Amino acid sequence: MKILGKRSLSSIIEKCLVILLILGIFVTISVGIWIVLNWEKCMELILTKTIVIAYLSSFPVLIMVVEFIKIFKNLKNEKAFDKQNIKFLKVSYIASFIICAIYLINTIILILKTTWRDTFIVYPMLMAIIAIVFFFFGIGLIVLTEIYKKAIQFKEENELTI
Amino acid sequence: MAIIVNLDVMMAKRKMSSLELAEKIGITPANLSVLKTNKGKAIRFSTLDAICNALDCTPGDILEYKK
Repeated sequence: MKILGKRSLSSIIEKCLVILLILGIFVTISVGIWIVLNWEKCMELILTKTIVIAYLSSFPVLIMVVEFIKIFKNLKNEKAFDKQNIKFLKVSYIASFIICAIYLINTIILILKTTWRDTFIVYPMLMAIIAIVFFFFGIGLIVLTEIYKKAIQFKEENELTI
Repeated sequence: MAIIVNLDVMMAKRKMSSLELAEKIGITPANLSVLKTNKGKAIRFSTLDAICNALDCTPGDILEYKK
């Protein structure tokens, strides 16, 4: 199967991400409205407060999806070594670290403000795991950005060697 | 970059056009323009050899180092 170009894996992934983005926007708006309507109920317990904080992570996730759509659009147009991709990857790793920070704050709040009886033990653990996953995902994206930078540099040098 | 390509000076001395030189050394006029305008990152020995042969000069006549 073709990886780059039209009717390729990149094109399919781009389409899937667009669908995911539309669903994500719909869910984010609906949950946002629900939180506003049930604000007092949400602020009653520490556990529900952390859910509201976790909701904030949906915005960097949506930004990341938008950036990935742009990257896959470039791959679809066979512009694999485009300088713009570096910018898109940079925004993605910043978004990833913001998500990591949000879940880390949630984990700390849950550990400090609640007892094991209040929260099911899996919940803070899940928060910590998500924070760790996004931290390493961000690190991975930083490494990928650097590799990309080097690749573009080599490509330019190769093109400008007469 | 401190290396300057003085190709246009040598071409003027030999009264040779860009198109003619490009044809003689076997590169495209676009690539020759990159070389002439100092936008190139590197030059192959084979290209340098062909330029020197076509313009009857030495690499020192074409390349100059400025601090």
